[in-house]
Amino acid sequence: MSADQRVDMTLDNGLRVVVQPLHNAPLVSVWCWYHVGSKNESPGLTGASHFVEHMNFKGTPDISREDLKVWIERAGGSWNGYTWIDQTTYFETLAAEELDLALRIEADRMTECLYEPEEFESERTVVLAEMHGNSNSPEYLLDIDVTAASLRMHPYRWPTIGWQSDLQAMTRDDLFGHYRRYYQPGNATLVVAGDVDADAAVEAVRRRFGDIAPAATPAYHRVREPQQDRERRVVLELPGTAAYLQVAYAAPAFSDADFVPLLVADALLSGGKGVNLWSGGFGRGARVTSPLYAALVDSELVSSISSAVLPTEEPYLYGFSATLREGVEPRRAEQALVESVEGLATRDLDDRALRKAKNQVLSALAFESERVTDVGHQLGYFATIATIQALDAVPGAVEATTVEDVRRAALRFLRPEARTVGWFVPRRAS
Amino acid sequence: MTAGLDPTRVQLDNGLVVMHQANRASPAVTVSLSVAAGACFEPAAQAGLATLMARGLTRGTELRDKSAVGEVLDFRGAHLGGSAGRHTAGLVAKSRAEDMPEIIALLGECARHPTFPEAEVAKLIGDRLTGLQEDLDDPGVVAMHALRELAYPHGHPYAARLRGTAATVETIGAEDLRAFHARYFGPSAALLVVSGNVDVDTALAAAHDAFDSWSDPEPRGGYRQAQCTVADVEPLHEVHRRVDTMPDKAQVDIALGHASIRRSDERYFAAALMNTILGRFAMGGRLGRSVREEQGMAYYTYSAFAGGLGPGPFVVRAGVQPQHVEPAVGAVITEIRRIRAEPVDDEELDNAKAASIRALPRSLESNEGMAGLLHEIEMFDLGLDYPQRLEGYVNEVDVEAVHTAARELLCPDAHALAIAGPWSPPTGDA
Repeated sequence: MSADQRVDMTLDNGLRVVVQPLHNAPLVSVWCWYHVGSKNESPGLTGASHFVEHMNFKGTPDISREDLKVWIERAGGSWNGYTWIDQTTYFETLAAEELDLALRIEADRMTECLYEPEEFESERTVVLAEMHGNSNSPEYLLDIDVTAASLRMHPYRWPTIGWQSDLQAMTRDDLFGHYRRYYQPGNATLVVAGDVDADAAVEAVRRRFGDIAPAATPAYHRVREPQQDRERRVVLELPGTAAYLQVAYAAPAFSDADFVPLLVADALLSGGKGVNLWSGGFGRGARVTSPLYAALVDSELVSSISSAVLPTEEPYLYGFSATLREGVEPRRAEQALVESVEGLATRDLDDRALRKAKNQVLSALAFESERVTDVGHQLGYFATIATIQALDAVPGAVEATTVEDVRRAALRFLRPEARTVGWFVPRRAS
Repeated sequence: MTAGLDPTRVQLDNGLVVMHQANRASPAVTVSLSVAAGACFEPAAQAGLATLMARGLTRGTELRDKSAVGEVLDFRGAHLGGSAGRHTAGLVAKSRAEDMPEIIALLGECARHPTFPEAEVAKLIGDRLTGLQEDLDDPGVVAMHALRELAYPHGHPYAARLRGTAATVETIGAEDLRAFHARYFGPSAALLVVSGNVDVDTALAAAHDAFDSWSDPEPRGGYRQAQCTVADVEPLHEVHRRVDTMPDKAQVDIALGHASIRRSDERYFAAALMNTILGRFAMGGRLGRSVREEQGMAYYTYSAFAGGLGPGPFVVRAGVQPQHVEPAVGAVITEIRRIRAEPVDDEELDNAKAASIRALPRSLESNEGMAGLLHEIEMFDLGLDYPQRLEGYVNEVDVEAVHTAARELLCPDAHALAIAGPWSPPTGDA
């Protein structure tokens, strides 16, 4: 994507507007980002941001629940939304001439959602069903416990979907209050990426959003996670058929100078990924020539292993996840994983190994911006958690990363005392 | 809808069909090789053979071992992997455009000269056995396996488990992979698709270099002609239900369906639009509106319809909490009865048509989407101008054709019903 043609401006009411013209296909992707995620919640209301996202598809006085979906899909469009730890977002990708339809829907969603009591109760069941569906996965259950063990104080510690007890106790007014507090133009970024004229798109945005009154959003009181000073362990012994291993280390925020060196370190350990949570290959297994593949997959300790350094607003986690081969003791796989990861700081890293790691990250960055939907996602994601300039700077920062940078990041983050280990041990049916 | 779409098709002297479409949206290229060597060609006692063979293609060639194959890919940040479906097996690569000639050459080497080393095949089988163990713990996978086994007669290629079972996989060795490859993997039964930021001359030159000297011991007559013949399926005469009770899971997965029609059936477009109305449009169609939106019983519900070379399945899926199993199944049956009993509204059909036609540019935006369309064109002999004709086919369908498709193809009283999760039938209802 070319930053030259990009418009990045703020309306009088505080709404940030980013327009990225791209003329390869007759499509436009509109993303509306709110700077509110599960880290803005407190115990008792965990899951509120995600539940609000569900309710914000339930209609407004002008656009019914059905109309919203019908209008987009009639225009050949796709739509969705998601909530994570730092943000909530909604998008429509559709024929470029239908830009105003997407803008109308998002402007309406910012202020007019109904939160009818019967819809709220019905949707509570749907959210619980989503949680139960996730809970069918042993890896999901282990991830919840490893995250909560790694982070003792920071609100990143609870799952975005919330704790079941909070979801069951939450009221319609709790949710509506959360919606009104955070869905303000000054807390939002509206991104338009695709086959548009930038000036015309800005005017279209202004027509739909310009009259929305500004309001303050609640102050965010940042919690600083105390530094972890000894290893933590979680063992889940539950009915199941396979064993899983997860290891997490405290990781830097995206804005930290060591984020990109750690991204390159991850490429050196298991293979390079980009920074797009929407389209990126985070679930992809370790590359064949990576040390983790050699230490764990080739040695027949695990059938698969993956890892991810995720771009977040505040320090989060660098996680590794493996499925153990039948009969392998979790401790053996853990030892092999930990030795590879924590040995990176003292490993001989030649120029070719570093070049290879960088090539992987740079290719992944190129692959993850193929569609207008991906581009729109990236611009809004980084405008929300950091800056778009920082996103633009990632390829250059990858190129500039030295062996010393990687070592420094590895020494800082990949420490035994900053490690949290989780085992899922299957209890077989008799 | 189809501006800029100008695919090329050539056939090499050895029978290999090569298709190309340029896409300048990103610096990437996707290359896909498909061969009529899917699971329908494997013996029932060795279910899983085709998928293991495909996975093994990159595990070493006559020219280099697995690590050396990996090094070519990993140094460039490219991907290459093998997979198999019921009809075809093959390789898909993704790389930066400048690396495409070298990656096509490597893909050709893996396709033509794999060695399936004993040690690597043993690892593949060990990984597969772990994966099969994981499948047993996943209600969604358990339900879909059961559905296929109930909906298709024993021995039918659409009943088999693609990845096999522990019993079938344990009978497979390296020699079996070599023999399967030698028998079925050849140019006269293959299709190569190149889609991305590369011009046609460069793509064809790379294809000639990689594949001109490839030959079949016994030519198989062409990609379409070599596909396996799939028998028709006798309709079910009653409901065949299987319940897999998994008491420690949180959510129940439901799969309800039966064999349906082939892609060549004259009712194909009517059936596809009927399916869109019933279980796709605006997030799950009528099913989504009833089961999720109005009754709040599921996080997901939809229907899927696969008109392929054979009578692919029509399936309704839903994930529900245990207390909603019977009401959800009842709601699904109600909707199936309704679409059979009453013609759909004009507006519903117009919406489904608009969505089908106008979504084309979005589905072709990625290289993978484009490669999928070119594959469909060749597999079903649709002609290179199929994208231009698609709108006409869709618009020819009227309300009566949709009603006829619903009446003839949906079976509310004679279907397979698979239920997996923390649910048992009420006593006396087994």
